[in-house]
Amino acid sequence: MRRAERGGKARAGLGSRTAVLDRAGWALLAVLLVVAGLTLPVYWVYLLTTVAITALVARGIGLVTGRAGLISLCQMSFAAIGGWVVSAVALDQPDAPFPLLVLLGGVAAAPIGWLLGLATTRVRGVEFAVVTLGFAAALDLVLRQGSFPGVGSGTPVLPAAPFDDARWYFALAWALLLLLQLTLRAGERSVHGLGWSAVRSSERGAAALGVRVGAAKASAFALGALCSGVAGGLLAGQYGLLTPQVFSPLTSLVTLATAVLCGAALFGGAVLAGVFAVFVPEVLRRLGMPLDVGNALLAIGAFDVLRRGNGGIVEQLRARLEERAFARSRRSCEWPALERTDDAPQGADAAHGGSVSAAPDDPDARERANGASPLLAVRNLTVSYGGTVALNGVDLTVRAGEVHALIGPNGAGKSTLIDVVTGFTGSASGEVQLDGIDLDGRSARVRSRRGIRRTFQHVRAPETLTVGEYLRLAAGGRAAGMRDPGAPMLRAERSQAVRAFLGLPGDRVPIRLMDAGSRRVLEVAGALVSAPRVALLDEPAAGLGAAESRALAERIREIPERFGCAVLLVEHDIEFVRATASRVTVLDDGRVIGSGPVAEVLSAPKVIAAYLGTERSA
Amino acid sequence: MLDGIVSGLVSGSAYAILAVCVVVLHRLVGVLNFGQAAIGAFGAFLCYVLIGGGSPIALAVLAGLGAAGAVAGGAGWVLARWFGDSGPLIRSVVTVVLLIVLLTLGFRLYGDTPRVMPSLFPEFSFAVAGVRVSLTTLVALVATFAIAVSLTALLKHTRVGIRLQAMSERPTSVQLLGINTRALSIGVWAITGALATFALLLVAPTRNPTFESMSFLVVPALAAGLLGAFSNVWIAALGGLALGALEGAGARIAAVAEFRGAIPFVIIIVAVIWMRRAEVWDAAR
Repeated sequence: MRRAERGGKARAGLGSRTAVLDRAGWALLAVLLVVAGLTLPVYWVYLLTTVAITALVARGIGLVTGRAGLISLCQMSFAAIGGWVVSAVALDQPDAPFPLLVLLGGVAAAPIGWLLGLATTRVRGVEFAVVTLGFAAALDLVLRQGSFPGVGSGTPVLPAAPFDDARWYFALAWALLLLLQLTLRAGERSVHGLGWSAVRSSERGAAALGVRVGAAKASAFALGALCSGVAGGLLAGQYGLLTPQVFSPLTSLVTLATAVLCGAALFGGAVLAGVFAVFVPEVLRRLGMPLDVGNALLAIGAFDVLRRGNGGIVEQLRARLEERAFARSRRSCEWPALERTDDAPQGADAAHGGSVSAAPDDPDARERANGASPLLAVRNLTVSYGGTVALNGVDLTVRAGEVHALIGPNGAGKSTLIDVVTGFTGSASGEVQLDGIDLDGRSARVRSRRGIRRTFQHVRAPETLTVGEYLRLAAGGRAAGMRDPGAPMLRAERSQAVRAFLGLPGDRVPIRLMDAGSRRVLEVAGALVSAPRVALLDEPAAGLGAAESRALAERIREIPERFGCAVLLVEHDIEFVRATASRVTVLDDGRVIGSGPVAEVLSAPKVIAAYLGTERSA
Repeated sequence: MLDGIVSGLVSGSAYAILAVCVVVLHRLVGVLNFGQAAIGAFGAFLCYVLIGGGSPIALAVLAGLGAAGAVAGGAGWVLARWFGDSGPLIRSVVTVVLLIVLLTLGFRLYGDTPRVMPSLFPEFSFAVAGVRVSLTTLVALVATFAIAVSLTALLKHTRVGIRLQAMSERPTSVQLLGINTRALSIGVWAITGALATFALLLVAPTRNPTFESMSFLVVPALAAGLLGAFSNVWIAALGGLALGALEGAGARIAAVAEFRGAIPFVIIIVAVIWMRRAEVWDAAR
């Protein structure tokens, strides 16, 4: 274990190279801005102000689309709301401090984004894009009917001193951009914000980690709207009089394309998007070419980024830097021989005795006879999709402190069972109880919070997070010093123990650099750090080599002892099952055909015929 | 009020035809085409430019339909060539790029001033139960119905339709069966492009549109398509007609008239909340 710690420090050193670069970048930007703001001619200062304003909108898109994966085609509409509010209030209170007004514009737009996000909680993908385009078109038509405050009477918005000066206005725009960037970055690093990446990667995966999917989407959308609203307020002060054309749906589309092209989820990408949006038309103007050609150029750039499919310009740069930084550090899970605790279990089969029957008639009676408390109880579970019966009257009991394997041929209903227990299938009849409490009607998130954690057959760990971030998200962000109910150790201790136990790579390693097998193990780690009552592991050894698979089996067998939770293990590899589980349940065609201690069940003729027989002939 | 509803049916037919195109393309090629109306507008504007230049109407219409079909086919080729393996979301974002490029091209070729567009059908109207119905309305309704019927028949009852359905569900397996999916999908694109131009030729005389405003008629069409979850041709068609009728009626009510442009959005929001009242999870495990 000591060796792993030392390795961890070395890896942190390598990873911090990007952090140093980050810091250098910020310092350089600050110096450049001050010099530019003081020395450049006013025209250039004006253009650079517009760069900051567009970068604000782009950063919002980076959050909504890049982080949370929601395609938003209405970010300039939120800017229109901000601009409208600032125009209206500035007319009424001309002496009000202008920065406050601009922030008010953002604060006005945010709840509208939040509401729109809530209304579309269960809408995803392209339908979400349709909703946002509908909003953009509707707001545009309504704005064209009326107009912005002050336009009718010809009274422009005049920012109160000192912001009536172009250089001060430049400072204000960049200061607000930096302020919002710091806010968004803090948000993205919070546990709630890590949920955005999880939602983007997979809503199922996010809910299984206990993330509120709807709330995560709504908050991302609200923050994106906040950025746009502030940008709209700044535009009101810059233009004086606003027109609907500034905020037309087309400008929303072009800004989205530019954000995609540049990779605006990162601050550098957002600033680059601002630079493109301002200087591409500027260059075209100087060349005597029509300005709207710029839109097509930016769109074609976005097309190319989509075609390559590896992120916008700055995201690619960042990815390359990361790859170099972690090139020599360990990126997969590694398992030295386990140090035995004194009272380690002596072998899975010996751990649980009890009655043996290949097809139990009455599981309750057997439990009572056994004396072991049922932790997770599934009774008479039936699931059918249309005419197909996936599960037919299934009973299954996982006792506290055991590793229980669930096996069966492909299509036997193993993963469906996990789906039902974890709350991902609504159309089931029968009972699922945890500690004797019925879970009927509880959402996937609630079940996850109550201590039923799962991993997926297809890895869902979000590629955009690092190992450390993923574990923090999975642990649910409760205080590190907190002791979980029923868990034998503190959160921080537990998290450290899980890292060492499963030999995870360093905290700063991005998940996208890990191989598939290690990501699967990372998901197991994610389940364990949350101090679950029971962990449902869906084929954790898939994608691992033979030696690694043996090492993982050894560890899974020890999970109940070390982490105080039971395990329900879905696995194809019979040797893996023999090495880990004390009891096993065999499913075939949606029915239980055997259940009990591993050695007994696996030698029952019925099981051999149904499962092992087909396995061998296959 | 009834007058308003009937006069709204011309717009409604255009929305309906566009919506049917969007649905068919979504079902068969797996892309939600945000540029559907822009492709149509490209052909429609070409048609009016030709008419303005003195060419016969029939020839101009044919040229417009052909041009839109070609643009759409080109877009289909680009998507098949570079985005064959991408998910529906990425492919649909590519059509946003297509929309931007077409809008730029439209501004360059046709300018951005509103145009007065002559009706393609003679100014003739008759009274039914005290409501004036124009010939254009009648033609538009018949055309909508005919298009919906024939596309449904194509999907369900022809060899090509079945191949197309198979293609949208399992593109790779169908390709392995030796069916040229790329040619088929380009064909579907071209047909929907020409139909979109037809739809916009119907509605243009009532609007004096700019290229941009015509291109964003895709919004009501998307709203109608959404009602049928982008898979039901008939709900999309009826939804489009109903949207047009609602707008027509709204135009006659003073309190609503200014905000009738927001009707599609209201429909979209109501539709998504209703359709998604039960929790449905994303992609399978």
